[in-house]
Amino acid sequence: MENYISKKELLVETGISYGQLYRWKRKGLIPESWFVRRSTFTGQETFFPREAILERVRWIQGAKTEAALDELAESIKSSSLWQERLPADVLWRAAGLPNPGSAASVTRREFFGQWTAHHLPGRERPSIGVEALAGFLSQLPSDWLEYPAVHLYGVPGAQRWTFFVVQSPESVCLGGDEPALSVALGSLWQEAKGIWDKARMTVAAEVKGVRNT
Amino acid sequence: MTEEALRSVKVSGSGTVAGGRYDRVKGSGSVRIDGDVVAHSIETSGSMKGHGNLRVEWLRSSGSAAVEGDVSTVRGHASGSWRVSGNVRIDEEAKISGSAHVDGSLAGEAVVGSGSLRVRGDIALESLVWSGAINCPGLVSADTVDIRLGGACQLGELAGSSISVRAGMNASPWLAWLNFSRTQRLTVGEISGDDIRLEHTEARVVRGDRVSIGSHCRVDRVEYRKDFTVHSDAWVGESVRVEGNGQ
Repeated sequence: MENYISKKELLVETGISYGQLYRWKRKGLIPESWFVRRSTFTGQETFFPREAILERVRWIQGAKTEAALDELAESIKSSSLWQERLPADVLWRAAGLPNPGSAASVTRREFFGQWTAHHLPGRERPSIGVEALAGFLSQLPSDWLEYPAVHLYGVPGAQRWTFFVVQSPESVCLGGDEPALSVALGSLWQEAKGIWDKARMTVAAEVKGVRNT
Repeated sequence: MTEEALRSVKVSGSGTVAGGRYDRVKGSGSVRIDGDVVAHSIETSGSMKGHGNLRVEWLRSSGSAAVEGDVSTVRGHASGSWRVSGNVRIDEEAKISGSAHVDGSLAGEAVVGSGSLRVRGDIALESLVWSGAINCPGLVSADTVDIRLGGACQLGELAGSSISVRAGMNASPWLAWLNFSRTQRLTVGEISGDDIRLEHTEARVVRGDRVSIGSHCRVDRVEYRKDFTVHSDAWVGESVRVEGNGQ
């Protein structure tokens, strides 16, 4: 539960008002899924994933222009699937793997990037930066990952790798040699999705068990 | 029909409008709309039944309207009875009088109305001014909420900057004699806002910067940051001043 912060704690910590919080929610700057309602001794209480909400509020407070906020709202809307965040320890425990990073919580896209990187063919793995691959995957429209045959290719360059993703391997015609990296993302994603859902259930059970004092 | 020169349709008596793009759709009597419609305006009087989504800049209806789908409009004026099975989006302002029932969510800028408003999903607006009965089991969030109670109202959660819930006016001494005020009641789980003024409200928790609990209120717990007042005939279980750095 230390990964979650209650609404009133959030207001005290950041100095924002209820009005601002709900204004940002309506604007789409704070994803709907971050508002977690749970029973406490005073009745229902709203909790947020601590690290994610604090980072987001600071970002919004630091944003210089309205246009920057609109841009953020747009990117959240188009990739809300990717923005969901879970505690890293719960997630990697569910995956049965050691936590590869140091952050307390992980977004869905970060997890998918790390998961994919972890399952790359062994000999290629060291030369591909996890961040680079996760960054690349974060650019993908999230609905692409619903395609079962979605496929990732990678070609090593002098400085860095070039990645490309296709909705199905049949849709491309590759001349010459096979790319150095060729991974079926669909099945990997299905597996990652299962782990994500399992971790989410664990978190929900943890939150439910908490009685705020 | 081309997009360059959108045509208008007019139905009087009884008729069906096919889905598509129109300049203006005007109907009186019994109008049926089959399919999604994108139009500059839809104006109907009498009965309108829509089977599909409606996206318009100006929507006006009097009488009864039922839409199986989503409704999105820039401005609107509805009197009579409205029922929408999907979501409703108001880009600027909608004026409603009568009864409106939305199975999905109601979102957008401003809604001003009187009568009965029932929304199954959430209400998320910049301004909600309503006089009458309002029921929404989800979250009602708006920058400005001004509710003038007329009947039994029930909300899951109410949140915003400025929240005002007032008892409606008793139209006559007869109604006062019948203790009409007892039926003017808002029941809500939690209210959170910056400035909150309540009357005839029953809530589990009220959280705000400045909280005023007026007559006929019953609140289990009040958490305030700056200011708190309570009317002599209101009941508040406990009130707590919460530390915070304010604005």
